[in-house]
Amino acid sequence: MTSAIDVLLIEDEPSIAEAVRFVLTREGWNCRHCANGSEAIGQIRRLKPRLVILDLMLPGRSGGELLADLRADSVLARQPVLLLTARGTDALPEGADRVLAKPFANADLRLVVHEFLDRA
Amino acid sequence: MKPRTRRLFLGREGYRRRRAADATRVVMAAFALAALLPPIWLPQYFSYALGTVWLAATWSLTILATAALHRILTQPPAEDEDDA
Amino acid sequence: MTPETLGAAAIAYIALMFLLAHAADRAAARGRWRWMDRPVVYTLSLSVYCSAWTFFGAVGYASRSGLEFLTIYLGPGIVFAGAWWGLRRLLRVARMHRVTSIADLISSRFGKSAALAALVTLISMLAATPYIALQLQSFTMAISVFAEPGDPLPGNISLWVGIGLAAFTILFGTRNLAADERHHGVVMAIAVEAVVKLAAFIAVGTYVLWGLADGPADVLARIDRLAESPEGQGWLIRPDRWFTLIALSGAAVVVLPRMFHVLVVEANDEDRLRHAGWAFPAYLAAMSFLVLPIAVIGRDFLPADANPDLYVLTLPLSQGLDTLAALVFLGGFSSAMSMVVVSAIALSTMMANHWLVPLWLWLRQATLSAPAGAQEDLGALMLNARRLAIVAVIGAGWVYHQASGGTAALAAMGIVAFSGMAQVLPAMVVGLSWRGATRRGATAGVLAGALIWAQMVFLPSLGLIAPPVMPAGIDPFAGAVLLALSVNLTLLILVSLIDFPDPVERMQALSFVHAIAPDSTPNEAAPSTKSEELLTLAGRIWGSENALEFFRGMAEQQGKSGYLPDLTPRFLVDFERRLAGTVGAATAAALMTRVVGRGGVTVADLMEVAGEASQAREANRRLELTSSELARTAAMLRETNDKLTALSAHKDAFLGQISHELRTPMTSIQAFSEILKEPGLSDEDRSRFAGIIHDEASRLTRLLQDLIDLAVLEVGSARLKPAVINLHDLIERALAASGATAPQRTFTIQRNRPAEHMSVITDPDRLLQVLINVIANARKYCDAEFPVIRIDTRRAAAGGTEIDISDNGSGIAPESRALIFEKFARLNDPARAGGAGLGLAICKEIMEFLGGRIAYLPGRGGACFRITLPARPPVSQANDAN
Repeated sequence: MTSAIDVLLIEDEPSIAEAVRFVLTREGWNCRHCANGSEAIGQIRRLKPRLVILDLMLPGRSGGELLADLRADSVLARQPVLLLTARGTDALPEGADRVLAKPFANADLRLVVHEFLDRA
Repeated sequence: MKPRTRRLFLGREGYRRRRAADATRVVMAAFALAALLPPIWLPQYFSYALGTVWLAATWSLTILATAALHRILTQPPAEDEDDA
Repeated sequence: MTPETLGAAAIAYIALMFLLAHAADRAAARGRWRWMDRPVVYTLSLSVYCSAWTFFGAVGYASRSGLEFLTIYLGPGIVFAGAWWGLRRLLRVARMHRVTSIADLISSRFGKSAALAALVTLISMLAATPYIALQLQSFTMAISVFAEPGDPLPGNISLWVGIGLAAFTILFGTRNLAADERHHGVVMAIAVEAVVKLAAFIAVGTYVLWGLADGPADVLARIDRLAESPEGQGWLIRPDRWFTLIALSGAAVVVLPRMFHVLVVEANDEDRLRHAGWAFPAYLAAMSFLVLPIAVIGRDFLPADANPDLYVLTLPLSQGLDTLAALVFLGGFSSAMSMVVVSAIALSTMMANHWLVPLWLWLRQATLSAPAGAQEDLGALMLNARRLAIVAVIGAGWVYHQASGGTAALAAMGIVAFSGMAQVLPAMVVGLSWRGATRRGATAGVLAGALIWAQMVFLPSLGLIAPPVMPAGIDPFAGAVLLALSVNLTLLILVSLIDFPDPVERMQALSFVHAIAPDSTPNEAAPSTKSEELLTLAGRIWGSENALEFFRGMAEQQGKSGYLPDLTPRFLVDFERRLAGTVGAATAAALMTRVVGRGGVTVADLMEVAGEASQAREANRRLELTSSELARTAAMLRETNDKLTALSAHKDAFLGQISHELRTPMTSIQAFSEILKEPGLSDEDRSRFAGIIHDEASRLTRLLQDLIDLAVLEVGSARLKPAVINLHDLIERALAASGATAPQRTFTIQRNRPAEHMSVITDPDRLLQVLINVIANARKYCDAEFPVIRIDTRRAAAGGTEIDISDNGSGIAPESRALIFEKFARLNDPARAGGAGLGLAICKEIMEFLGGRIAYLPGRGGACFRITLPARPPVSQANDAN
């Protein structure tokens, strides 16, 4: 299964979102951005991205809740998710395929995304 | 304020105070009788000088007695006497 | 001594009373009322009983009818001898229900009936108008004594006197709408006037007794000589009148509106009856027994055509004692003035509470509950209603005086008033001693009594209809009064016996007869969202400061902090009673139903709560004491627990939050600084990314600064740098500095600039920080279409300073209020309005550091923060225990 969209970034901080999109787009991936947790599920369902990069702290619906929703959904349960977190590494929600702690080096980001997308 | 059980008998202080309160009623009744009865019964005697002296004397006595009784009635216990 | 000089003296005297009342009011406002709040002041204030009727009219009365004039004082003498069990009960019950007037007492006892209150007010008004006219007339008569024969008096004296008295009453009687009806300034003025009139009367009395006559024995001898003369027949006591008048005056000393006001409403506690119980009769005795020598000597010394009502003045004048006569004139003026002022206060309260406000509420049926109506200031409305009523009361007296031509003997009008008000007595006495008396019974009795009185006493006294014809040997007045009172009493008892009262009435009956606080019914519990509405209602009536104070106190009693108590039945009952202390029981009940919307009490509830057996009552009471204690502790524990749970969750979240707040900007900075190192970026991108890095770095700096601030304050190692500053300048700076927040929005700033100019001793930089923070918050979060920020400053009671900063947005939701001063407690803030959520936490720490506090005030419409500063900051480092 292939999608036109490689990465859907769900992140409310505009400057971080811009940085991530800049880095991933330069790498040649097609990257979309969504700033609001409550709209995210609909976007995922519609765009069917190959990878979701999800920020943990979101207004509206938090990253953890979103993840739980995804895993409970029959269609989206296997959606690959990369979780970004700015909190400590303890008490992370279940269900993420990979976790990347903020702040991260751009190289690390590229590497992780490569791992996800090259697998397919 | 703490819960208080109703006592049947009072100590000396309380007893005195209770009787002083009773006495104020007696004084009032006595004065009412003194002010009402003689002038109504014997108006021809009590309409002039005698009546003046009589009323002045009984009223002064009443005032003195009330003052003395009220002095005894300092600081009443809160709920001992709503038996009016 | 000319009328002009006396007029000037009267004006000077009234001005003196203004000053005195003003000083007393100010002292009371500063909490220094206590030293004036003595039994002697209370006793003296009771002397409003002795109006100009006593001062001038008693002598005339004695000259015409002999000892009969004494009945007017013997009645009160008897009633006060029994003050300890009769009046004390009345005072206790009235204070318990915060009764505002005699009409309110009757209405409250009989199920808070608005109709009964209006009826009693009507009777009081009818009875008082001629009585007030009498006072104005006595002034005119007294001043005319000093005029040269044939010299016309300055026109409209009585009008000017009326205007002056109305002004005095409005100024000191309707100052504010307190939760109780006490007027310290007025009471003080009355007490002083009582001394003046007693001194004047004693002066003229002793002069006559020993100066003109040869002492008491001589006067008594003259009385006995008089018995043989034809006039002596007038002195013969008529038993029916003797009895009736003593009964009437005994009733009057309690039920006359002005007497009820000073005796019950202005009383601070019932203990003062211990002193007044003998001192007031002593005052009356002194006044009344001095009447006799004046009357007898006046008759012997003065020409036969002299008016006996004015012997007090004409006797000294005939002896050339102008100064004594002037003193007597002032004494008479004092008695007239205090009677008019207190009557006007009492009557205006009754008219406003029982006529005008219910009428207004009825007209406003639809709009009061609507939010638009909520803005109206009910307190101002009620004060204006009272002012209007005062003008109406005194104006009616003046009109009556003009219309009647003022010829009637002084005594007659007084007795008419007494007999009218006495129609309230059966309802009061029976209502306080028999639980079976009902509203319909009382209404029937009072109405019938009042109609008979109007037909047989009041209207004939106006000359409108002929006096009633009585069987020979019965005095028309005594007969009419006894008839009215017996019909009154009979109807009251008969109707009550066959009636079945509604539950509210039965609860009130229980409470009044047994002098126990009114109980509450279980189905009164209202949704707790209403407590803010009640606070708003209270604020509109008492002013929001007093309302907040009361609500805070009640919340504290429940073991809660903050300003919103739970709407327990107990609180609702207390609140309604407090409200009744301002607007009367009937109106308070109507308002409560309007806001809380509780249903009526049912008979079943009644039987459940207020069991009619006294045993059940006793058990209830004991149980209630224990359970209320328990409930309070439980509430306190629950609140502490809630707060601790919230706090500990918060503490866990705190580290995560700090981490998040630090890492987020770091992420952008790291990402973009790496990107900047990459080749092939456009110059445009490059500079934009550098800009982002810069913004994020400063965000980080701000956050660090906040954290360090907090840490320093919390550890207590901050240094206080106190200085004296002008609050106005500080607010100016804060407004300027906070303008950078949400600059695109235009705010209307409401301030009272002159009031801001006060010096404050504090750490200016720290206070500035708090002000900026709070104002910036208002700018950020106020969601009104036309945002308004309002800043109020005032000196607080203990010399501290209060600054209220409020906006007209939707405020902070009740459930969030507990946490707003915690770290990172940023509320519903999707926009992340810049700060990290530390602002109010820092404000709280700073205010504690400055020895003051910051609190959220509910019930102000929008969000409102109160910053309280102490008179001077705490001594540095002394309180750094925490």
